[in-house]
Amino acid sequence: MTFDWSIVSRYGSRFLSGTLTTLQYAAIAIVIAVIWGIVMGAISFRKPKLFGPIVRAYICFFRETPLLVQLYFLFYGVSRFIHVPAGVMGVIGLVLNDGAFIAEIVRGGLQSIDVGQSEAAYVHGFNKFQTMIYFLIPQALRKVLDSIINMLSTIIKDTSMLMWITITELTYQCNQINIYTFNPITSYLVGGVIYLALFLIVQMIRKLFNRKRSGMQPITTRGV
Amino acid sequence: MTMDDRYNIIVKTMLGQGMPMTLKLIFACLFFALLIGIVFGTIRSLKIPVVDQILEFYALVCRGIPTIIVLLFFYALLTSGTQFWISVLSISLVEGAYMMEIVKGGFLSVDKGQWEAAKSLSLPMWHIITRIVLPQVFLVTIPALMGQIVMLVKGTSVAATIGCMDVLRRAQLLLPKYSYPLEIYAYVLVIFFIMCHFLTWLGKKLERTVVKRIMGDQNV
Repeated sequence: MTFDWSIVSRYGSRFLSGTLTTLQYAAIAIVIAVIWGIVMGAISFRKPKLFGPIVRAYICFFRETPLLVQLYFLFYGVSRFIHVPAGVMGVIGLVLNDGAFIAEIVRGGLQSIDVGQSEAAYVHGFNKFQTMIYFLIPQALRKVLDSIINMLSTIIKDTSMLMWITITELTYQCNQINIYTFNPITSYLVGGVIYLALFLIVQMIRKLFNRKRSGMQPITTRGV
Repeated sequence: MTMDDRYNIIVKTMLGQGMPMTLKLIFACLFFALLIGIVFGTIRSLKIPVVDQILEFYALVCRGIPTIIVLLFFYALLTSGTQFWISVLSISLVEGAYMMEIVKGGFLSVDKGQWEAAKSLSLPMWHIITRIVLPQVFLVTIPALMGQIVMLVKGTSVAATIGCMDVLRRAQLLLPKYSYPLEIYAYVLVIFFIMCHFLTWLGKKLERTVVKRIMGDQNV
């Protein structure tokens, strides 16, 4: 059994459609997960009386259970009561799981901001919500941008789990091609190389942002 | 579902039959991943020209490719070997790469001056490593390593997809008999959560103990 180029050309369209599906899910999931993560991170940073413990418990629970089981739970369990397509459930699963990680990152970013920033905002008459939106979150995001871009590569990898809830993304297509051709080396190697290429592209984006950022003047340079 | 059924599902099937397999998976993967991580991480910290590039490529591949692809690849490629060992092979290969990077980072974070100071006191090499360098490596790597171990425990759940009889697979096999997927998967989630949360707690405690032992009480 060796690498077979004819399989690549014969099933190229499948690889392509799988890659596009993966990218599509990753793109939708990262956008919603970042928004979700920022909201959850801000709440878990502020610790309001009612929502604080709930959000903390959510973040803790979703960070410490496997994505695969969460997806099974959503797709086979919750779908019985709320009828939504598999794709929507997949995105919900990815957002809940990776959003919890992003929330923890954002919370770390918020905690690293000097207290003086929010005090200064209060003095100028901004309320808590405005302070969060206009002062704290932009600064925190700038600090944790690197980690959030890193989460994009995690999400791209996590989309491979979606194959178990009937979504035809890249890993699913690789599996199907292997079933048709009995050539695991070709099918999975091509899939692996595509994932690796996506990973490298994300790393390049990350480096680009880092270079841009190091050129900019950081906001809080003067002493704490 | 009656209480009897619940007892049957949770205690007998999941914990009784599935849990030993999950624990076996976790410990086997942990052993091999730590072995890969510590051995290759130490080698990487030495920065040997060609070997370093090869290991860097290995780390890149394992960080860029989902575990499932590796798992399915080995499952399709290897004609011998049980599902258990195929899962152990692929999970520990992938997680070992992460551990390698952590251990390498730990070694590189130890200042060169520490080695030089120890040598200038003419301490024997063995003492330099065990008394001076390794404790500092430990100190730096324990939080990251414990986090990675939690990831490993979560990662072992993919072994169920190729038919390794762990908690998740046992739960799936229960579904034709008891048609309550919401409840059954919730139990699996709770089982994994308890394991991972225990490890996180242990990690925090360990970190505090190690800091106290190495750096003294005032730093806790």
